[in-house]
Amino acid sequence: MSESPDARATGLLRRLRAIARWPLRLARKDGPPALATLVCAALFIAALCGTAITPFSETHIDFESVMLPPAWEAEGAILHPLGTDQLGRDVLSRLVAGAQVSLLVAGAAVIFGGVLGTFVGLIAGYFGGVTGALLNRLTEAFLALPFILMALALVSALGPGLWNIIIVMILTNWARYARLVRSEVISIKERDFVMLARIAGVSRVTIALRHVLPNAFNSVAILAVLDVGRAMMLESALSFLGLGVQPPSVSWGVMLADAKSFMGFAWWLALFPGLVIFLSVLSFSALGDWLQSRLDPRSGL
Amino acid sequence: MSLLSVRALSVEFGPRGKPVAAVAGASFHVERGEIVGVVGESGSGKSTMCSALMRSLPDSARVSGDVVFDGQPLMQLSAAQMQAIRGRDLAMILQNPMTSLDPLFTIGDQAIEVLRLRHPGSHAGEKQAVELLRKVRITAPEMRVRQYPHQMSGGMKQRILTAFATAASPKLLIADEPTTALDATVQEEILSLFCEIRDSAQTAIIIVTHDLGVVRRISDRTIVMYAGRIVESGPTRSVFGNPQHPYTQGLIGSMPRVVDGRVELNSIPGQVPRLDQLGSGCAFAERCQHATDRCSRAMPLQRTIGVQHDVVCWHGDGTPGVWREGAAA
Repeated sequence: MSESPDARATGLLRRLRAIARWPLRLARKDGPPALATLVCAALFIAALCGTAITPFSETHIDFESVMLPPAWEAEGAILHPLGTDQLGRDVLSRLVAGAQVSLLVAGAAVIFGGVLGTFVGLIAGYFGGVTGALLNRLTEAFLALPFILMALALVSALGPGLWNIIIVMILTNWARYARLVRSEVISIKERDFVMLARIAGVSRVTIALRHVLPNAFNSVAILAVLDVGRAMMLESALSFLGLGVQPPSVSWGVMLADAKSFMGFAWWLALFPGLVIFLSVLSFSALGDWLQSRLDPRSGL
Repeated sequence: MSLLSVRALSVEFGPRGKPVAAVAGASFHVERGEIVGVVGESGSGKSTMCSALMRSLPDSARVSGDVVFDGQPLMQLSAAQMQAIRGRDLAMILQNPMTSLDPLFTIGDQAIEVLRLRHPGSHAGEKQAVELLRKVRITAPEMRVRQYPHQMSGGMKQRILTAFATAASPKLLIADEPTTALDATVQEEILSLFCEIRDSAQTAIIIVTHDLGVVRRISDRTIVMYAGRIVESGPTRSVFGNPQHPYTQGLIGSMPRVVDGRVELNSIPGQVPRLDQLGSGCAFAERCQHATDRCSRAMPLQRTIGVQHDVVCWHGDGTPGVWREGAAA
């Protein structure tokens, strides 16, 4: 027997309502991590594909279409969904190209800075002694220096540019990992299984690499994810100040710096890079927080 | 010659001018294939003494005395020589099995690590790991090697750790409170495992505990420690049958027992003195009901009162039961 049209309509309505409520439910329960993962994934895809997926090159100048507003504005063009800048370059294409730079710099800073810092922290924490004390003082010295000041000094010594900014980011980033890993290692090396490995005749280097380091890995992973956002922001800040990526290369910071002269009438030039920076930093932070709550058994208590 | 002979072993901490002796002048020996029980309250220096034998104390500890293990002067060996002996001839089990395994690796991984360490060049794999577990009678070892430490009970972990420690058939196994963290039935299993290991590989075992029942059950000889000193030592039968030191008597008296259908439980009044506040006399004098002026003035000398039965007390003279009534009162 078929349902009455009325019942079918209510069923459909209920299903529609459930679908409409899905984003709400998502936002309440697994919302932050799910949305953050979505944003981060979009960023990675944009960075991987780069300008291959955008209709324009990020440096393509077109004086026919200068300062076009976003597509939904009256004067906007559908070909330039987020508008164009003072040289007619497509804002969306430039954002995608900027994502590439942002993730490259942030990724390199986090990976190389993380590896460097982890090993410094491991040596300082596990082997201790004079070497450990010296490494610890060095770490503290790097932590005490204000980032921008250190970056200014290094960039003026090395000169601006993509690879130099990566070096600067690594040099200013490793100390945080070193401090974290050192404190983790000091607590791990007092645990029974490490003691037992020592009195079972396992060499110190083997214990450090095989038993201590893996047990410190969770904290490093959490810090690394949290750090991606921070590194992206720092890269944008440096580029904004003219110390980072140099035109014609694009970075969100460079876009913001360019936009500030036109902010009065071309709001889209400042809004979109700013929004992208804001969203990515927020997403990586949310992802890091979520990882922390999942990986750290103490934080759930 | 004894497997292990320890002479005047002392472990000091703190400033040189005002040192605190966690172990003071301990002398004893362990024969091949012998089980020696070391008993005493918390803080009597039992664990510190074991760590000193393994040379695993922190650098801040000052160790003196002679330790000869299997013909080698342990305290004079280089770090590399010591590392070669550790685990191979001289093995140790810690008190808490729950935290003695790396939580990130499966039992099999850790067993293979141990086997490769013991037999360098051999390509020990899962099969050998299963064999190792089977030796300590782990049920379904094929399944267990793929499990992580958190999936096992404490008794099972202690068995596994015992298997790891005895993988190379060491000459001496030091077990620091191996059953303290386990419940009574599991404790019994671990103790019979120890006896088996002793019988099959002639492994000597030093078992540190504050549970007199454990010592009486499995050890051939008993050493009683108080405030860092050995106060009485001798064959287990003799020490339990004819305890001479008032502290030993007190310990034995404080084992629960049934008298006229009621459980009786005595205790020794007072507490272990702080190690930095010891006077020149006997450390137990303050809590001893037989103490005289001489006890608090001068340290008693060691006296032999029976076959291998030594006591450090001004009073104990080998007369059976002289202090028994006093201790029970």
